[in-house]
Amino acid sequence: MKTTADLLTHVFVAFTAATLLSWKYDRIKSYHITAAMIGATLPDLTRIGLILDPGSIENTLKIPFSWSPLHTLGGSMMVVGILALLSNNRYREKIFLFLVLGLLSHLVLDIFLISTTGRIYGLLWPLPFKPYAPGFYLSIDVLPAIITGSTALFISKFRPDKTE
Amino acid sequence: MVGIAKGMFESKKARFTAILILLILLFTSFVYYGSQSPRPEYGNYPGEEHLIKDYQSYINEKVNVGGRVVETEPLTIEVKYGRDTMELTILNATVSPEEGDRLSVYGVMKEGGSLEAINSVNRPKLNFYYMYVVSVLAAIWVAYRIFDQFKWEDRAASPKRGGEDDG
Repeated sequence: MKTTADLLTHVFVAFTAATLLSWKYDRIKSYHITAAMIGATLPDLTRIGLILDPGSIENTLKIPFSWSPLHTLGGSMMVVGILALLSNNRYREKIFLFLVLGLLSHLVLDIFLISTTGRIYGLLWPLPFKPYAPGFYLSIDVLPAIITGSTALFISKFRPDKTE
Repeated sequence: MVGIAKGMFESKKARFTAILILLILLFTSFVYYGSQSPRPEYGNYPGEEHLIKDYQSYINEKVNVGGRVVETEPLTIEVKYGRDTMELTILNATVSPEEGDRLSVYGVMKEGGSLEAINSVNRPKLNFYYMYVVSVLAAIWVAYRIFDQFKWEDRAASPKRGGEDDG
């Protein structure tokens, strides 16, 4: 059974990272922060499997099928590419970068999930290995969302005044 | 990917073609990934799908599966793939789950549908529901921000506000 840290934690982390960047760079707008948050949700698109079950798809289409590539570097980068191409030419470059930022924050966090085998899940696909990594938390733990959520709340309320 | 960042895809035709290529690649990866055999030497152990199709061929091999606890004496989980299910009795589990919990087990497959656990991780029922609830909240939050901040105009997404500085 493959799981990931809860989506809320991932979105909080991406929000925090992008918001901190916006403190430093004025050109980073609210919609860039949203792009990072979107990027952080992309690997969890594998949850489509809860509705469109891969086993049933295999039986219907008579082909092997798995949603798992969505939760890997290779697969989610393709989704990032599609979303970037859906954006207006003028804004594409930065939206692309923030989607990637959110995506990477998700994958990096998931490296530290506790797994039964002690190896990380297939995050690095198409590279054919799952290296060993220390596990610190489970997707069902409540603490990650509380810590990242209070951090996100704090930085959204207490932006330091820019005095130059 | 660099091309996208550099703004190579300016025309609608180029964008449409690139999106189509990415969609085809993505679909190909779904099929390719689904056709992959387990490769334990890379940490890619047989899972639910493989055991349900033919658990006999994995006897005395290491497998990695998860499922809902349907019985605690003896500890039994129901493994699902598609509409197919299978019950596995877990031996030597290091945790003591309750009925309805989700148990992941890495262990050695034995005759008669039992699995000797090397390591197991339990996800209590309540925490499992918690995870779904907060994940849905996160999805709603992101969806709200998308509708609040982006508009669909001229076959592309643009920010509603704050876009003047760009370009």
